[in-house]
Amino acid sequence: MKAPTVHLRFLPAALPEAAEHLRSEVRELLEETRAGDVWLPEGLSWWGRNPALSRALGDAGFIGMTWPRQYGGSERSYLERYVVTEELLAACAPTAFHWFADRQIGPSILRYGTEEQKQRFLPPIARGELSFAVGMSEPDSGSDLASIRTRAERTDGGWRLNGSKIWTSYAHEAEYCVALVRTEPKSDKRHAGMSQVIIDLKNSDGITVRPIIDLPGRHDFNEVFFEDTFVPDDCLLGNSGDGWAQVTSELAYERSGPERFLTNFHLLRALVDALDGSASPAARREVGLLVSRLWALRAASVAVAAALEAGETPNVESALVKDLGTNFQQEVPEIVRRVVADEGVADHAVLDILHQVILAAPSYTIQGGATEILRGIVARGLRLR
Amino acid sequence: MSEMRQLLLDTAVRLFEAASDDEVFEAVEEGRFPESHWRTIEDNGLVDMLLPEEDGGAGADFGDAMAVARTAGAFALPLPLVETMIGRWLLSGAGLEAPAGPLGMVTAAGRPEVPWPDNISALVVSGATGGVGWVAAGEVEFERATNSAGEPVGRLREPPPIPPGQSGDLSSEPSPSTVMAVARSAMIAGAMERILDLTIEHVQGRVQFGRPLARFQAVQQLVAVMASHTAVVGVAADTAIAAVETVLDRDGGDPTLMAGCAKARASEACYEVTRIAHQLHGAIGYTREHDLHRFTRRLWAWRDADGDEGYWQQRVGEMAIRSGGAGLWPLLVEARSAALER
Repeated sequence: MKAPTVHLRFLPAALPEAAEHLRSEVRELLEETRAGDVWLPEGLSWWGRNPALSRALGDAGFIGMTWPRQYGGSERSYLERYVVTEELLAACAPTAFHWFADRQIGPSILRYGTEEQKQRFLPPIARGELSFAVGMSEPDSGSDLASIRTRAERTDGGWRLNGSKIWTSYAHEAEYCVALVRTEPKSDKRHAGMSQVIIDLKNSDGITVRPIIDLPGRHDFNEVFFEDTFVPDDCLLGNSGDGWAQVTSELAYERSGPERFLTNFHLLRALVDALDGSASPAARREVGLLVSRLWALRAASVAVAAALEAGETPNVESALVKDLGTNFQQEVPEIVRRVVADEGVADHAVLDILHQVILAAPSYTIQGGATEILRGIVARGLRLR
Repeated sequence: MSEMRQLLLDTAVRLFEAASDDEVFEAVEEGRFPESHWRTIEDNGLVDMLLPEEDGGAGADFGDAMAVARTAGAFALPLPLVETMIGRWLLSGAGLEAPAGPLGMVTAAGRPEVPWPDNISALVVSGATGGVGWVAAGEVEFERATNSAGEPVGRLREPPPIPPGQSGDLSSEPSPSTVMAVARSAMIAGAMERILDLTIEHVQGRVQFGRPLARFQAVQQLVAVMASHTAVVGVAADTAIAAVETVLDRDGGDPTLMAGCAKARASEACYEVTRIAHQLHGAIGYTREHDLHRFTRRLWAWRDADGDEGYWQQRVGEMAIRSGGAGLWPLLVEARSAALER
């Protein structure tokens, strides 16, 4: 018997000293702004939206950190951005105002955008002034994103958009939306003929935004209808027809981040606060179960961040982190429920967060790539399909 | 990878390959110690690899030793190499001369169960109070049994007393139980990598309903789950190994949280990985004719060795509760492995 083939291996990494230094800076800024009533920790963590906090983070250079200075960035490493991101999550800071632009849209513009687009969009994103929504799913296209039907047809000086996008978070508040649309009719090549366009949500005609109330009772989802909406030529992002490749190239950034396992860290923190030295062995074990899983996921996530920093495209590893991370997140409230019941925890902080997290939990394993899709990606990485 | 590590791994693969043929495993099932393979491994310097060259060792670092431990897992090595290697290193660190021959290890973590009680020369013992010592195996009263891997084991109700002059002090960290937890995690990671490899080979080759099992989505999803657990156990073990290395290099710090998290995660994942591997192998995996059982049975033994998941979860949980809500996040992120910095 020969040595086994190792099919998937994360190269372990630690965050460099330079990145670690940022922790205290982020913590200070969060403390100051919280003391100044700019924000409150929200049960929804990064799904909460607070323009004032985003503005403060932008002023401090914590948005678009990895981008060139000429576009408002601070030319930090991806690992430095990682530290800032996880500190925001651990503090349960509401960051949805800038999150999507910082995480995926900004990097897309930087990579595929024209010089004019970079100058126009990136600096205000980095200042925390400009908010973007992401237009991917459609009523008939969820996991099967390549089946989208929203089409953009050539017209004088631009494109005419017809169709609709759904689950578009904060489309009712964001200034812009970057959407994946068909610029050519469907053909045998499933992934051909799609393009990304930047849509001005506030100043375009023919846009209707219909709110969709989600399970916890909040309004961040929307369905966005386009009826002959005009998109000027200079708002095509990248090359016409390259939309699929552009969208999928950013997935490793979208999937492997700490938001895939830290979304309800505040629940674990509140539980630990409610327990003390008299906690039963069973309660200690449950807390240790959660902490050990979280620690291991973070080790994997940091490994992916280091691979990204090194210029690799760890799509399979990212899918894996998101799958395990979101399943972990989903289990957190169930385990906390057991401890709360067994230990007779009556602390309102824990019970209130628990209630919110239970309602949000079904979304974790759907948004940003459903579990079954992610496992399919891992299986493909193992050459099973 | 350093030249030293490559050399050690090449040696390990060559020797472990020879020590894992059918005959050896059959002998082990009958309770016979693979003596000649043990001697070859000893003669090639693997048991003293961690000792400095002036003490007759190879001067390897902890990461080298753990790479060998992972390889031992990947071959289901039925010999107490890791126990002996770490036992000799700990005794040497306490200024003691280690007895010759294979060793058993008993630490403060978990229920003591020592493989090969009639073949080891001595038992290395470290209690909760720190320090380390040894006692000749013949002086220990074992309750004899067989573990799930089919190896003879000696159970102990409590650690045996150490004769005078056979114990010494150790620097407080990394403690023997921490080191063994990390080593066992590395062995589990290696065995899981083998099990995943066997499973992928099986589902690609086995044809049912006119196509390979690998073409069925239900099968793909299960393989993805076991691959995920395997990969995370691997990176957790590597991160804990780096934490121990950092402590050894700097002579300070405490890697217990990371070692505990790694072992808790590794032990916990054994259920899911072995469950899926057996499910996908079908009936042939439930026989002694296929190799799978050598690895899954060792995972069932190793998940309990050196502290099972419950033990380490409790230790980690205690640390978390003691740190309090505000201290929990710093506890997680400030326990760093400088050895990993790129």
